[in-house]
Amino acid sequence: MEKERFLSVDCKSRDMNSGAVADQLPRPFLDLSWEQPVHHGAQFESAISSLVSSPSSNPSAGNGSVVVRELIGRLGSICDSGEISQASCYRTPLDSPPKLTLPVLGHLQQGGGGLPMPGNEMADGQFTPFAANPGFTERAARSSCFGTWSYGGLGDQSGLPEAGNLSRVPRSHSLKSAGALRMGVLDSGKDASKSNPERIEMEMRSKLGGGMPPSSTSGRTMAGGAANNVSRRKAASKGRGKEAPLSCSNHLGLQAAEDEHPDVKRCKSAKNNGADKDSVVKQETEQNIGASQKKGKENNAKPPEPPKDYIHVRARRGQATDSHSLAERVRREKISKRMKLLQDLVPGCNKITGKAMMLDEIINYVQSLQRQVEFLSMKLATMNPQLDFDLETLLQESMHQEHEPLPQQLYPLEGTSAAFSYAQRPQGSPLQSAITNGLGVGQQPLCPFDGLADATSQLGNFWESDLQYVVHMGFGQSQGAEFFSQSLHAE
Amino acid sequence: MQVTEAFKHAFLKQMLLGFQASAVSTKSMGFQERKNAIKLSADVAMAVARGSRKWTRGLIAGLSEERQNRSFLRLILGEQYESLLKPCHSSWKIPRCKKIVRRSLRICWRKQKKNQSGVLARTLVEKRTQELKRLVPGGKSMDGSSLLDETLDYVLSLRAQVDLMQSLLTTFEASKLRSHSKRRLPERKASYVSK
Repeated sequence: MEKERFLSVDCKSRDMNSGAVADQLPRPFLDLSWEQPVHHGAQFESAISSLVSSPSSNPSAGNGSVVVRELIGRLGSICDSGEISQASCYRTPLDSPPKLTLPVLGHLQQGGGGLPMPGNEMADGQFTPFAANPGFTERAARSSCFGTWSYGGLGDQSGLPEAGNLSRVPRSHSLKSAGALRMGVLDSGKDASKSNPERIEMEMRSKLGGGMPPSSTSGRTMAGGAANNVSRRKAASKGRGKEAPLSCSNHLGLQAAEDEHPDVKRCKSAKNNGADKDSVVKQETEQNIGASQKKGKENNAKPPEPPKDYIHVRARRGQATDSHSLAERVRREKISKRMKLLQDLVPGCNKITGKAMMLDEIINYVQSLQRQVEFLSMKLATMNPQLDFDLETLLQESMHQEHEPLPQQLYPLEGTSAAFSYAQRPQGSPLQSAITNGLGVGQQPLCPFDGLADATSQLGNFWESDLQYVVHMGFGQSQGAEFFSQSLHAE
Repeated sequence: MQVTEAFKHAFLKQMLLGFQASAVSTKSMGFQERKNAIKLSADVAMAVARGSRKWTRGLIAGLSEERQNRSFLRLILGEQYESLLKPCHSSWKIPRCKKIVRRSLRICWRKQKKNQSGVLARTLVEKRTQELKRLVPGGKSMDGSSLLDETLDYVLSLRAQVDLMQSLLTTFEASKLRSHSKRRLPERKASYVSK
């Protein structure tokens, strides 16, 4: 009987899922890695749920609703882990789903003549590890926030809407997760499990680029006028650290400009009322700076504020208007502006979003530069005994040299011929000319170096050309190979 | 800050003057000693060429903490040295009013009770900020936004320093090579004998 039920379920799953889905079922199972995009997971999950729903009537698994809740929790974890694996942080949620693939694979590959008993047992056997999964309860709780899921939907008949639900969930996952998860976390109380906030943080960060604008807008619509949600969202947006302004300020810049307006009147009155409590000079100056920025952002004609001693900072829609948060926001925007400047400066930081990672890169870069200085000073020390030259004349020559246009063929230097060409220039002592020419060459790629916008490309070019130069010079020497390796090491 | 030609010139000039002052080329010193002297004059040159910034003052203050550098610093900087040393930046704390601090702490604490999700991000950022404060000279007494400002400046000057030292090195290499080849070409055997 169980065999029949399993077969029937299997057939039903094949029928219920549309033909296209069913065709795709074997393939994604075979090569399903958790780094794949989630839509594979969607069909996978629909299959799982339809399959696993059969043991739901199994009395040995205990209470049906408990089992079902477990399944939902597990599927929620699959949803999450499918996303998280891309952020590549925590492995514990990923441990559970891969176990799930094996029984399903085994079952599906064997098709109609499958072995229901081992499949069933294996599926059962999976329950206990899942139930023991820490943090499973809040996942189940969170999944309750995925409102479209219904326990009845896991029954035999409603496979299609269920598949639809599940396929919809991952897509809306990126939209809702930031919002729903946030709400879920906040709603489900102070869950003490550490993995949760960490995971959410990682998810937030991994989804910051694409997910932020829709989630924020959805967050806004959800918040509406409810004070609770407003404060929570504000708290959550604050709690997310300073990542929000980094990516948000771009996305939300325009939105904020238009969202400010319905909000501005409220704020203005609030601000006028609360103006007397702003007696701190420091906050006022910050507000001055921030408010002047805000005023620049506003497009539509608002009745202009009569200029007072301190300028009002307009609070954005749905954010608190007390002086502390405003000042904090101003401070955060200052920091994010500087982080952007630093991002242009440090090579290879264009894709990195997030304060912590940016700071990581900056720290690495500063450390590498300091190490390079050490290394170069060491090298200068090795050849220092030859530093006997006339300083004043040298410097004068270098001053004059700067204005002279350097011949272009010197720039891509080829071997020792360059050194000889230096020597043949009729200027005082050969050493002086060599140094000045070296300085000239060193300066020439640096001339277009000004400007942070193209600093990275320039630096790359400079290092390349310099390395070429160094290499060619190095080849001319007896210690050529060693010099080359050392320069590489310096790079 | 832009890396201007004037800055580079001043930098180079100061560096060469420093080399001369510490007499690295003439005095006989050990390898480590020479390297430290070169690095010292390079750093001082960078600070002097940049002018008066928080990190330059912090750098000079940090360098003057070691006794052996002080004579050199006094030589290079002259009267500025004494005036720079007066505010001791390493132990300077940003002055804060107690009432304001207490009020903001209370608000922050209340916010923290509501949400725990940002704690991790904040601690990560805090850790890295501490690290950056250690790296940038004089960073201990800076707050977040000015720290980033100074880092920007410091990175630009460090880059210029590296470029300058590299170009200096290559010219010395070139000159050395030329002198070698010059010596070798006319009298080969004699040079072998002399070596």
